[in-house]
Amino acid sequence: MIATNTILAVRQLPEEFESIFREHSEFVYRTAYRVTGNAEDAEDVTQIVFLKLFRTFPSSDIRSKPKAYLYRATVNTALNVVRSRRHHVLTDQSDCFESDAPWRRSDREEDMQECLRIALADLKPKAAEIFILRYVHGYSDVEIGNLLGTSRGTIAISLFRSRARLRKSIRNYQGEQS
Amino acid sequence: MTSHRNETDRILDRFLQELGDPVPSVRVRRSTNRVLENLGGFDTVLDPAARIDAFPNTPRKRRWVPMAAVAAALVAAAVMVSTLSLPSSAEPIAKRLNGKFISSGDTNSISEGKVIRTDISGSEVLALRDGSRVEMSESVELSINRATDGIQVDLSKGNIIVTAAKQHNGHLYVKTKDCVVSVVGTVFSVKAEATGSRVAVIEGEVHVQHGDVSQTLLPGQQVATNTEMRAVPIQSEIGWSQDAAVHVAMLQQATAPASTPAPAQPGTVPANPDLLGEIRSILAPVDQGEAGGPIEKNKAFFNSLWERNREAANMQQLTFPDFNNWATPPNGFSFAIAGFQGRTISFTNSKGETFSYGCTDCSFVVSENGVSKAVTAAEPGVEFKLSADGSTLTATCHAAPCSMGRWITGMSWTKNTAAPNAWGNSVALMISKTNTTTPQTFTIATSQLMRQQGGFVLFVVSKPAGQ
Repeated sequence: MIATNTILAVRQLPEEFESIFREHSEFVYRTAYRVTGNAEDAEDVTQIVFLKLFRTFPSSDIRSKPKAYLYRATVNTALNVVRSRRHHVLTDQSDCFESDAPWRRSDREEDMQECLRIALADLKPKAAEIFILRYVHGYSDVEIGNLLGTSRGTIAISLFRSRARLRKSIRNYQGEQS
Repeated sequence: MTSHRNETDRILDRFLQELGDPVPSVRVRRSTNRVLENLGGFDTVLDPAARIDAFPNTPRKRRWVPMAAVAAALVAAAVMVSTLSLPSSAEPIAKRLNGKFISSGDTNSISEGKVIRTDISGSEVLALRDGSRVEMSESVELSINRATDGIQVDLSKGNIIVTAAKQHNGHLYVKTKDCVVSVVGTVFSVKAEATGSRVAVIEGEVHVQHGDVSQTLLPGQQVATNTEMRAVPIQSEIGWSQDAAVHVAMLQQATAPASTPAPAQPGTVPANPDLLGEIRSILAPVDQGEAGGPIEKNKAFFNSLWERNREAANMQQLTFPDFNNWATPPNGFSFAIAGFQGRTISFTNSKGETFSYGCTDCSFVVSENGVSKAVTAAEPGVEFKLSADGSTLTATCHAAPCSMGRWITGMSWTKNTAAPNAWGNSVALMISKTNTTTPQTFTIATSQLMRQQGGFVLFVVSKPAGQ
């Protein structure tokens, strides 16, 4: 049972929380949108991330540096959403994979995009994080290295391996189609 | 081998490029505002039972087990969720969207079984947890409860219009004292009076159970449980709704003489698209002596369409978008989605020409000259794809920059002077696209095309010079 005073507390979001929301929600949403590939999931991810922040807010030391927390939480939550779609794609929409009619090409391209998102979600968490910093937010290898406290070479290797993983996913997908 | 590698690289490059594409600011603002509203207004978000772990630095597999559970719990707490995650009795089953609310302990969130009443001003709109929407007229009394396989609206008295969300594994029921209406995704009106109940269908199909009698109603049909309740024109039955014009337009489309094209077979997209008689009749005033350019034509079309809806709904004159501020590029063209029924979408272009197209699962391009297959069309236009379940329509700029906007009932349409190529903030949905090399896909919920707040979805395409 939810206590009434708890409900009332929710209805009046703390000013500080609202301020953080207004400052960072667009960044969170944009990240989630690019990772999940659709507006509905991006909105869900944004809500989940800020809800988590809200739950820990009163006692959290995240308040002092919310962006790093929000970024990581967003990436992880968004990738989890993509992973959860895997079953749907491979079963409910299996008919999309079976057609070779030329006019279905855009269907397959969409499926390919979804398969790549799933492949991205299957990367190791740190590799996925680096990948998103590079390709969603456009940071350079050096900047990512500085952000994550690692060398430029490590970042470059990680990106190279991630791209190779994605290429492999594309080839596997094409193999299924041929 | 080399061509395979090139193809793989091309696909990967495209994916990476799309990851970096900017997200339209309007979409971002609308979504984040909605999230903030949900965070502040929906009390299930603080369900103490849903333990939230602090952001972990633990290995991935250990991390995601609790996070997945938490995510599921939190998504279930959002405003619009599927019927699979019906709330416990302590959690809200609906949320009020606007209007005056008369109930003890007036709150935004509505718990199961709570009796809700409107006064003589009506105008209350509720969002149910399954995504359905209930608009209440004056002096309505109802409560919302869980059914064994969905949600049930118990209507004691008054008139409501239900826009039922697509039900995945359940049903939405409306129960009066003498009948039960069950639906799986439609729009209908229910009126409960002392003498009996009357059900009228605007779109889709409903099943009405009255005693031992079960009846299926289609758009335009109505049934009363008591002969003392005479049949009334559905337009007048729903005339009180703030979305009356939209409902009437839907009803007109649904009950128009069958002129919907048969679903196209793969590779057999007609060269000459079908015309809708309904739209033709709407266009008649436009075709009579209209000699203006594309903008004038468009303005006349929409004024004509609007006038028709307004008259049908007996509504007061509302502000109409000023198409003088809606700048079609000199070398471009514009068109609008004029109707949507089943899997068929009807369009009209800036020349006043109309066309429609429907298919089971395919993409097509609407260009200046009509509809053509997406893979073969080279003309600038907008590529559309309706999702398999019909719930969303994606629109992608094809071979040229394009913009999209939606005009909402009751709002004026103003040009955004700060961004001359964009529409103003009064447009609820505006997405523009200027980069021809990276097509950007817009996703539109089809429920938003002709329902909810109404309005028309318009597209403007800029043709490259020389075309």
